[in-house]
Amino acid sequence: MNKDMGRDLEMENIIRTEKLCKSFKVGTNDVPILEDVEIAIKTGEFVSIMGPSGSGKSTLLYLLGGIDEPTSGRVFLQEKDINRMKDKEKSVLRRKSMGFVFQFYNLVQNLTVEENIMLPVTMDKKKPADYKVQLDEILEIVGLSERRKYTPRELSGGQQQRVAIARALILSPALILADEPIGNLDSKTGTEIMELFYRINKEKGITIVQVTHSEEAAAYGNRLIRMKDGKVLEPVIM
Amino acid sequence: MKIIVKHVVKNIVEKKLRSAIVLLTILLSTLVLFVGLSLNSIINNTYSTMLQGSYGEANLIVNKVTDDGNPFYESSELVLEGVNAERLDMIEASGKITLQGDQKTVSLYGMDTDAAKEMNVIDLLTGEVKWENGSVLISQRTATNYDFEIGDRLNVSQGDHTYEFIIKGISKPEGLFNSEMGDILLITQPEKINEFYGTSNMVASTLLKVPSGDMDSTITSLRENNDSFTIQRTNEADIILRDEQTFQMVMMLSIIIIVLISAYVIASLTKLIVTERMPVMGTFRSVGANKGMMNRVLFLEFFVYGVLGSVLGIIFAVFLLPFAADVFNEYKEYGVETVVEYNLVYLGVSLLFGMFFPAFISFFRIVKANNKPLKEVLFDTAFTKELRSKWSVFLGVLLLAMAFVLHYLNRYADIVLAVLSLLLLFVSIVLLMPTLLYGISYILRFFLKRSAAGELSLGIKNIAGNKIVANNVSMIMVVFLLLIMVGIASAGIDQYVSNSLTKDFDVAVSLSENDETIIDEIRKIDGVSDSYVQYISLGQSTNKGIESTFAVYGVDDFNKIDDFYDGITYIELDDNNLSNLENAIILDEYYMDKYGISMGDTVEIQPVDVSYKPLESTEPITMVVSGVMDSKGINSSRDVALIPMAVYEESFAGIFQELGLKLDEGYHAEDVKERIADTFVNHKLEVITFEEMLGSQKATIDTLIDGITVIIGLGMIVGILGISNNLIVSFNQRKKEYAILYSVCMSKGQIIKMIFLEMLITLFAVIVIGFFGGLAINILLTSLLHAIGMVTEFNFTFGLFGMLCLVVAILLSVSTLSLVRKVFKLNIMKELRYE
Repeated sequence: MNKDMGRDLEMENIIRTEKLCKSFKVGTNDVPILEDVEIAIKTGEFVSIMGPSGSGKSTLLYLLGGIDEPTSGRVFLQEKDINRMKDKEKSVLRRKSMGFVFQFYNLVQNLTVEENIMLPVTMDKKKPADYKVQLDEILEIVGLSERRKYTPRELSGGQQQRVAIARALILSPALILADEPIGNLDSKTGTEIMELFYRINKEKGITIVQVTHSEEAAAYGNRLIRMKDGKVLEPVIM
Repeated sequence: MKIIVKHVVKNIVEKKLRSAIVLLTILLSTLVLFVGLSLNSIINNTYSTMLQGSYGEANLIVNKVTDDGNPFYESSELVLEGVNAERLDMIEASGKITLQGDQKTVSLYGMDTDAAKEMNVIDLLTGEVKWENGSVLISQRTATNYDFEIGDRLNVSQGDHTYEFIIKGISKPEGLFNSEMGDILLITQPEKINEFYGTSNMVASTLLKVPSGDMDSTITSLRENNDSFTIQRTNEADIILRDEQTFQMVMMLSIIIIVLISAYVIASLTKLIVTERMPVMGTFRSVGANKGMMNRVLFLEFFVYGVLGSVLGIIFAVFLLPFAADVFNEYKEYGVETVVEYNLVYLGVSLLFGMFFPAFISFFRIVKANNKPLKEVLFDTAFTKELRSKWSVFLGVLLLAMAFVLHYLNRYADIVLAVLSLLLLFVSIVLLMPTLLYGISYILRFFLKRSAAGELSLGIKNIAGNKIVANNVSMIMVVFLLLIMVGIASAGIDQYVSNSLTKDFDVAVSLSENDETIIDEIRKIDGVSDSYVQYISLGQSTNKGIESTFAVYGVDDFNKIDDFYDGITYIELDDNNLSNLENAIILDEYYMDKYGISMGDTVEIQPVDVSYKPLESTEPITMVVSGVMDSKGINSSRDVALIPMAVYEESFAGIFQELGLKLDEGYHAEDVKERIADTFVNHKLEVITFEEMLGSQKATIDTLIDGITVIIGLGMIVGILGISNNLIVSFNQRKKEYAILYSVCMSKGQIIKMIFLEMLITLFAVIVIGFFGGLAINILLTSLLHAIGMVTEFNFTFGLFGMLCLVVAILLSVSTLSLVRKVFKLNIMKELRYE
């Protein structure tokens, strides 16, 4: 057992699954997407999930985030079963305890950069004015201080992804879930975004789980989960 | 190409709800356009057929000049030498009959039934027309109403005498029976009517049927040979003051409004459909289809919608037209059949409108949409932020200013300028809508800045910044304001009849020239306290290059007419001119303001006939303006002029004479009316009480308003369809936005709360903008209504405004409630992914 593994064992699981299954109905047939997936991710980890198309990695990510519901099995976030929570509780969880970053950024087009970033604050019934310092700091981190009044359309793909990351960070969540965050970006911008994730993970200690097709992107993480046909292959420690 | 066309057809079939809404909108707009266009000519045809029908095929009517007080003449007194004419002599009387316990007035006509049948004055259904003593013809209507059969007996009383009649025949309720109108009309042999008067072989009028090409020469010849007779064309014989032009204009206004609502709805639908279609079109383009082909495919889709919708619309319209026309037939209760004709030109216009308008409107949108980069088209990443273009704001303000400038410049109530001014107002409202919404949003944000509710804050932002929400509000606003416009006009017209018409008489007697000798006798009837004879003709005048027609009143004493008629109020008089000048004239204040005429100015008036043609051998008369009056109490158009009787008698044709009577307290108008009718039974007088006149005017206006309400109701359905479709489609367009909000910060409950708050803010915006827009319309509409002869006060109707707000509130609530289920069922995963 190496030192890293020893430290891992000491850390708590931030999120874990138990016999997680997901299937879709096609006609009269049930098509399994995930079969008995059991993973555990510890606080502070940077985990990459890789696998071929259709292996179920994005589905797993959305189940971890409570956006989708499993056919059977359970997901525990900080030891709370998120599928037993009401929709309202899940939404509180999504804005306070985790942040989502998508391949196509998924920003609200008619809101400015800072309005997009402050969405979780606004929806948490907090006053945006109380988060001015955090907003400035996050804008500084993602390098968009000068473009805070821009709308998404006025930004490049990389800049939009930075806004999405800033939005995920504003309420200092414990976990960020990223679905192919650089899948829609050129390699240079992709590298910049991955370095940003790396910094966030190292400096803020935020756990990151990303789904990616890119070996380079996966290399920024400290653990790799490989999936195939809805099943998790042996975990690889980086 | 075949695959693409198949895709288009499948799309129409598969998107059932959307296709149904589009087709229904096109169907209704085509239907309303065709029905609206057809109604006017149908109503005029029905009316003229009814008038003409009373005289059958006769085109001239002859009466005796009654200088001697005797309206009767022997048939041989009328000289028809050298005239190629068929004739029908008639003699009339009236009496009373008691039917089912009610006493009814009976009009009796004596005539030769063979000649009457020949001239289509009667059309026998059953029985025979050979007269025996005391036999009568009745109408099918009377037979049905009172369950009469051939052989039944009728007792008609006149004074102390009672006459017995036997029903020998039943005629269709056409021809002379058209004029039955609520009373009972009997046709019998002339000898029997002569018995009423104690005369023999006398007649009171003669109908002549002459070849239409010989009319002028026949009239001249008849006048030369018959000094003691008046000869009139039958189509001029009955002048009922029926304002066809006003009806036509109000109808056209309604049609224009419906077409505008439909146009706006269709335009808005095409916008949403094109947006929805874009990703699929992008896919086709990505596999090699060029932009031109895509443009043609989408164009074809809208054309197919247009063809289906308009053909269905025309089918329904053809089926519905007789029923719609019946609604407007105010004589229906008297058995006057609606004359429905299908005008092929109107049919073609409506069909072409329905077919091509959706395609025409969509074409520009399609071209614009297909010009976007392929990636944007393919991934549907169209920008949904509402841009407040400075140019739009500038143009909006400019058009708004122009609308009011045009209104104030439109001194002569020109209809084109009035319509243009209103059109500019609507365009400016649409252009300024994003800015207005931003303003409302800004104000709300200012007042609610302390609120911690994120849903509220986001809802307010969405109203200002979201193109789809702004589009919804714009559509609601346009439909709302158009309906407000019709509402203000209808309420104004209704209010005029109910409140503005002043009670100037208790009983009025319409007199023909033949009856002038009995004026003094009528005045002596028990209960009459005051009376005034109105002599009215028509004149035309050209001021500031604009020709206008007005009613010219011949007046003996300017003070007396003012004393008698409360509806006339003098504002300023030059007593000296009025006493000393032969050519003094008093004009209405509105007319003078309109044409910049001042006291002391001269105006030239050309006497004209009922067809507005200058009277033979008359020249324009120069008159000096010597008084200003307000005549709104007697005429909604306020185009009234008072001139001295001497000038009137010299130059104008007596088109209309009416004796107004005021009664002493304790006398009932109905009783006095009956007494006049009974006393002057041998004169064909039309006697009406003020209440009857008001009721009749109100009935006409009510019919008009009912009809307009039906059309507006249809317009409202089109509007509601458009708005509902907009709200439903906008949900589809915003699904991704909701999914994003759900994935990063909101629960579905919060999303629903946000949608409801947006609904409330939309309603608030509609109320605020609708109120100010309604006030603006109230000002600008004045010119249009003045242009169509409604010179009366039009007030912003808070009742209608409230009702429309309620309709919008219900519509928005129902639409929003329907979204709740959709939000809960929203497939977040599907919306968030692009695969």
